[in-house]
Amino acid sequence: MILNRLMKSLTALFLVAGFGITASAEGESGDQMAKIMAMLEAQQAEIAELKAQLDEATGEDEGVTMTTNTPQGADAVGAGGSRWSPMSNKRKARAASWAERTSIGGYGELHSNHTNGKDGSTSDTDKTDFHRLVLFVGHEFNSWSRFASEIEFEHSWAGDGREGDVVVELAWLELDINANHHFRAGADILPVGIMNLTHEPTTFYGVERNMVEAEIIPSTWTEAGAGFWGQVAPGLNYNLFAHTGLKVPTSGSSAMRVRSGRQKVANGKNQDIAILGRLTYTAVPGLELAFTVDYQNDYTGTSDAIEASAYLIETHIDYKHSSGLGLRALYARWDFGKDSSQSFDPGLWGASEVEGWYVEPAYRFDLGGGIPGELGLFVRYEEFDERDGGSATGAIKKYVKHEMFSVGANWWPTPNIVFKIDGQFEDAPTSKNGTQTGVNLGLGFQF
Amino acid sequence: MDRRTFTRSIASFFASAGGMGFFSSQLSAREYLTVDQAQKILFGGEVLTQTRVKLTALQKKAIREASGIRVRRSYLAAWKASGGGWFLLDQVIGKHEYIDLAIALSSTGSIKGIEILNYRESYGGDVRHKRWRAQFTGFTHNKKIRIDREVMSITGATLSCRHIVEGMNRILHTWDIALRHV
Repeated sequence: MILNRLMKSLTALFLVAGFGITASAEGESGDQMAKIMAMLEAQQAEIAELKAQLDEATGEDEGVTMTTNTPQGADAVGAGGSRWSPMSNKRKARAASWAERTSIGGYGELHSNHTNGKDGSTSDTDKTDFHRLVLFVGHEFNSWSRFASEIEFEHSWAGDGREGDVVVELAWLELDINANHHFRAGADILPVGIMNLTHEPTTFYGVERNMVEAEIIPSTWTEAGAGFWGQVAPGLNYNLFAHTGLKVPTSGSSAMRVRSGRQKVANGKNQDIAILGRLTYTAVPGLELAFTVDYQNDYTGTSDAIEASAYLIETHIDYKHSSGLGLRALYARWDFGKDSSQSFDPGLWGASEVEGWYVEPAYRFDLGGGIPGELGLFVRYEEFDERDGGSATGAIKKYVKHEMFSVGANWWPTPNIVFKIDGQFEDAPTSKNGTQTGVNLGLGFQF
Repeated sequence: MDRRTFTRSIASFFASAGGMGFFSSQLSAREYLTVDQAQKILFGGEVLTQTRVKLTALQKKAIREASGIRVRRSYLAAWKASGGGWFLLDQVIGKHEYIDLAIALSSTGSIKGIEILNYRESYGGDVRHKRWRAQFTGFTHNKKIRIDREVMSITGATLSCRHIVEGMNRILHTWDIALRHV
């Protein structure tokens, strides 16, 4: 718009100048010349003003002082956009363009798994899978409210008879109450564990996510709900979230499998309410300590006659040292209640307590010798309860202890790209299903 | 606990939380400091004079080559302190959202301090804590700051931390190339 006005003024200026020259050539009176000169001066002044406005809009203004922030007053609530920006010399409180307030990102990973079933009781795994491609879209409505979403495409090809899925991993709205406390509502990944919140492939070791967080927590765990998060004190943060509960099956081949209790906010029916609370300590640079409790009021859902509660406790440490050494350790445990009135006892599946833990030391270092990026070496030891009991119809799969030892490497040629290799050695002395031992390869990226 | 009782308990908790004054403040952005406040924190009683600095194409190229980070803007938001230091405003992207920074450099180009003016990401708000920001103090353009070496990242906010580190490397070389002799 400013450009249009500028062009019109320039055109008018040239027309006036041309007329003036013509009139002069034809010997017009001095009064008329004075009027023409006045018009020329007026046009020049308007052009100068328009140029100044144009420079301001593009940030190329000459010699205009920077405005400083002023505390946000009541009338500024709801005003769109940032009130300060160093990108232009003088930007007043005006809404940023839609594109500036919308962000796009994503991550993805390709896996190749080659493992042998132990003792011949389990089939071998030999597969290549674009395991997931996740696209993030976020939008800031104004400076105190925003939307975020992640859509996940799993296993490449969705449809009848295909392995793939399209899933809404998260889609929430957030309002800032003040600088330290925030309200969020929608479908959200629950703040529990390490990988449930942070699982881009460049952020963890190993091609596959560890079994403890995948099966016990169970990551990635998305529920619908509402709650608050924020800061209690510097370095001490909290989450408090009421959400839809699990609906763990109590019969069939997935009976008492926690992971099968996730409804993924997909027309989830008959879910009872649950509540989660978490404290996270991050006051020491490089260190995260966290403790989470999740209470399920009725973990089998409300459509059956069983009323049994459960709770999850989870705690972890994630530490990085400037030498390149790192350590992750996590413990998670479910306690599942029974309903005697319905003769329901999770102990039938050995599921009165379902737990797992792991420890993962690692070392990350710059590659020299002209090879770009960093290499990370890791070992991980996991113990976790997993259901086991064969595939016969009606077989009760009881939880038995599994151990997994993994060793491998990540190469980050640049921080947002990773190539991975690891060997996994699984053992379960009392297992009927057997275990998987072999090699995994993977690549991942985020942007 | 039966479902009705549990649901009532949850509802009353959230109502209490609201009554505790969580909502007494007007809704506001995650603005932690104004520019004026950051200037006072970082330079105290020193007089700050806004100084117009436009980077030439050659300077931008030199900064990019020295820091490894592209220079997106030609104009610096810069104030020269009466003691010879510099107060700069800058912006980096976190994971998806912008982070607004204020940086104080000494007269010899070392980092005196940084302040976070706005942080919009959902995780990693601990970047604004004194202990995390103190990791930057004393660095000059002579030594590259590396994430998880000289400055430790925050779990769940690695990208934000990394981009702040990259921004600081860029600022240090900007001082060396464009501000040292101003």
